[in-house]
Amino acid sequence: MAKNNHGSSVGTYILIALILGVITYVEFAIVEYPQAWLGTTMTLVVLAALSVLKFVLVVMFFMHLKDDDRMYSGFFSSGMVIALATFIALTALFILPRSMAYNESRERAERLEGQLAHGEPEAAAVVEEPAQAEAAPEAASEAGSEAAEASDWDRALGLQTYNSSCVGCHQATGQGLPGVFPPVAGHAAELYAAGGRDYLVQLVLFGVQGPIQAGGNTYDGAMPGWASFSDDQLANVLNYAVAELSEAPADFVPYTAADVASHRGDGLSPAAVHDLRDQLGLN
Amino acid sequence: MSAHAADNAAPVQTGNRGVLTAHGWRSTRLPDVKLLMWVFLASDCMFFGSLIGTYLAYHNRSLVGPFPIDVLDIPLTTVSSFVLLMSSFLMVLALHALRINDIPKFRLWTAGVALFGSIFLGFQVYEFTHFVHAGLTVHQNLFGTTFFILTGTHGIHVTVGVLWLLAFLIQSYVRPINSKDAVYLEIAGLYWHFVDIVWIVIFTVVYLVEFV
Repeated sequence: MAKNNHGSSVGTYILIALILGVITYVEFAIVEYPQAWLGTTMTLVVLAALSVLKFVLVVMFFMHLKDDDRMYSGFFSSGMVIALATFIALTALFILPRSMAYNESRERAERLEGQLAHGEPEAAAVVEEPAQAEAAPEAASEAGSEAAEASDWDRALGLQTYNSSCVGCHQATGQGLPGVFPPVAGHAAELYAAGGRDYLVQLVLFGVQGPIQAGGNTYDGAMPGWASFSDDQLANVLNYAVAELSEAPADFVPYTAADVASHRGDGLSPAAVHDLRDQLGLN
Repeated sequence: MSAHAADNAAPVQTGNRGVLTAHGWRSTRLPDVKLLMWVFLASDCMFFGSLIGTYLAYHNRSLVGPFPIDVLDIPLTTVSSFVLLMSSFLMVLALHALRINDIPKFRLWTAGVALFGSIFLGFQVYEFTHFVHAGLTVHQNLFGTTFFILTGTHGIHVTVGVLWLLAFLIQSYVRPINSKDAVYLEIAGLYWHFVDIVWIVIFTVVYLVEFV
C-alpha cells in the first residue's frame, strides 16, 4: 500500500536523474551529428525509443507508479489509451492518406519516365490523365503534336516535378479548384504572352501572396516558393505549364536551367512577386 | 491542510462495500486528493494527445514560411528540456525531505523546482519572442497556429505548477508543516512530473524529429 511505501531511496533518484540527463544528451547528439550508418528510419525509431524510455522512467520512479496502488496506474493507463487512440485516429485520417497520395503520384511519374525512355510519348499522355476521360483526347493530341515539334525541353522532368508538388493544388490537368486554387492551364500561357517570361520564373522561385484574377475567378491565397527544386526541374515544370497544360504562345521559347539560375539571387518576398504581377497589367 | 488529512484516518470497519471511516463509507482506502489528481492527469493525457495529434495532422501543410526547420533551435531546446528534467529530480527530493520532516531541505528543494520551472519558462518566452521576430505568429501559417497552441498550453501548465509550488512554500512559513501533509506535496509533484513527461514527448515529436 501507498501508506507504508515512501518511494525509492535518494540514491535511486540520483541514478534516474543521471540516466535522464544522459538520454537527453544522446538525443541531442543523434540529431546534431547525424549518423549516416543509422539511416533515417532507424534514427526515428531510436529517438522514439529514447523518448518512451524517459517517459517510463519518470512515471515509474518519480511518480512512483512502480510501487504505488494499482488503481492509480489503472486510471492513468485509461487516459493514455484514449489519448493514443485519438492520436492514431488523427494519423489515419490526415497523415496516411496524404503520404499514400504522394507515393501514388511518384509511382505514376516514375512509370511515365520509363515509358518516355522507350519513346512512347502518346502512351505517356494517356497514363497522365486516367480519370480525365473528357479532357484526355484534347490533351493527348496536344501532347502528341508538342512532342513531335518541340522536344528541346525535358518533358518527363517537368511532369515529374509537377506531379510531386504542384498537382495537389493545381490538379492533374492544371485546371485548379475554382475559387480556391487558381488554374495553371491557359493562365500560364496568358501570363507568358503578357510579357511575364521572367515573372513566371520569379513566381515559382519565391511564391506569391495576395488577391489575383485567373480564369474568371478571384483568388486570395498564397503559393509557397519552390527554390528547393533544381534549376532544371523548375525550368521544365514551367515548360510543362506553358507548353503542355496551356497552349503555348507563338513566340514561346522553352525555359532553360540558366533562365532560372539568373533569377535565384533576386531574393523577393511573395508580396513583392505580387507587385511584379500587377505590373503585367493583367489584374 | 492538517484537518483534511483526517480523511485518510484508519478505517473503522471494512467490508464488501469498501471501508467505513469517520467520514462514512468509502470505496477505496486511497487518499481522495491523490486519486483525483491521477484522474485529472488521465484527462490531461487526452488533452495533450489531441493537441500533439493536431500538430502532426497539419505538419508540412503550411503554404508560407517560416517553416519549423527555419526557426526551431535544437541546442537551446535541449538545454531547456534538461532544466525541466532536473526540476523533476528536485521535486522528488523535496517530497522525500518533507516525508522525513526535514523542513529546511523541503523548502530548499521546493524553491529549486520553482526556480528551474521559471528558467524553463524564460527559455520559452525567449523562444516565442524570437519566433515572432522571425515572422512566425499564431496566424501566420498552420505551423504557427498548431505550434503556439501546443507549446503555449504546456507553458501555461508549467506556470500553474510554479505558482502552486510557490504557494506551498509560502504557506509552510505561515503555518507549521510536517510529514502528515506530504500527500498534498505529492499531488503537486505528480502534476509537475506530468508536465515534464508531456515535454519529453513534445521535445521529440516537435523538435528532434524535424531535423532527422
